[in-house]
Amino acid sequence: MELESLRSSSVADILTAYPQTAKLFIAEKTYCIGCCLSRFCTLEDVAKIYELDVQKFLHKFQNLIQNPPERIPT
Amino acid sequence: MKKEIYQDIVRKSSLFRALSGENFPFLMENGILRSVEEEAFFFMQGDAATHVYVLCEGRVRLLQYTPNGQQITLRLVTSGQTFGGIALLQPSSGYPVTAQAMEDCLALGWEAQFLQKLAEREPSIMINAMELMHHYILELQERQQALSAARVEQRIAHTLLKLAAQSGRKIEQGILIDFPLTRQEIAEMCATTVFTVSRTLNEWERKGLLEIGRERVVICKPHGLVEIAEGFD
Repeated sequence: MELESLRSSSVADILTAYPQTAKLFIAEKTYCIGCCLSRFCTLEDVAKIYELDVQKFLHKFQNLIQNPPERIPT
Repeated sequence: MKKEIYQDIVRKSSLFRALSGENFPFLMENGILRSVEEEAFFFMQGDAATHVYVLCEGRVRLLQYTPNGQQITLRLVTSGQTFGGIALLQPSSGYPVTAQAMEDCLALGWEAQFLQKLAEREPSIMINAMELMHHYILELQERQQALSAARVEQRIAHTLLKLAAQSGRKIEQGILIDFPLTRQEIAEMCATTVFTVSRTLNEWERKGLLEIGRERVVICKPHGLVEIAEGFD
């Protein structure tokens, strides 16, 4: 996924499409998981609100989405 | 007005979404379309529970009257949602709430007896009704928890956030709560007084969290409101 489209994607859309990104929100100590306004905030909004480096923040998402962790066979 | 144009809404409604293709036309045939003007009522608290409704257009509020005459808004129903579901489960007990149209409304209604018969062939209706009940119970638990543990500011913030999540629209200045609500109505939903709601909203407006117009609220700093609601402030 392109950085620019990540930047303007809503938290809700990202979490629905890539549930594995939940751990990034938690790692950055945001309250996004379970927030009822998640469809209104973009990833850029989140980075700004929590005073994170926008580029770095988006890169983390890009990395995780492009290299999904291996699934543990069930 | 033809009720067929509301097929989509009924098909997606929480009560009928799992209905099989063969029973769906039968359901639509037996529904009656009711239009209720703004401020008028679908049913009153205590009325015999005869019909279950799916709201097609407009907004309905469900309210109860306390013994001393104060009214309490329990929930707001928007298009596609079910109300009067008690008719399906326990018609003899009467409607526990009054359903009042907040604006001109159109709803499809079904007789309880018809739905009970249909449910014999379509058990999904009953399972969905139970899911609805479960959802209501969760909502009430949340409300009870808020009443016993949360400060009044948290309750007001929670209510605004819920409304925003339900019917908010993103605009340039923030999230517009597109719901014609008076302060009195917000107060009823938060179990507080209109004075407290006014004082709190004015304070938040001063802090730049909100922008308040007549029956219109814009949340300018959504995150700030979440912090208040969760008690992080």
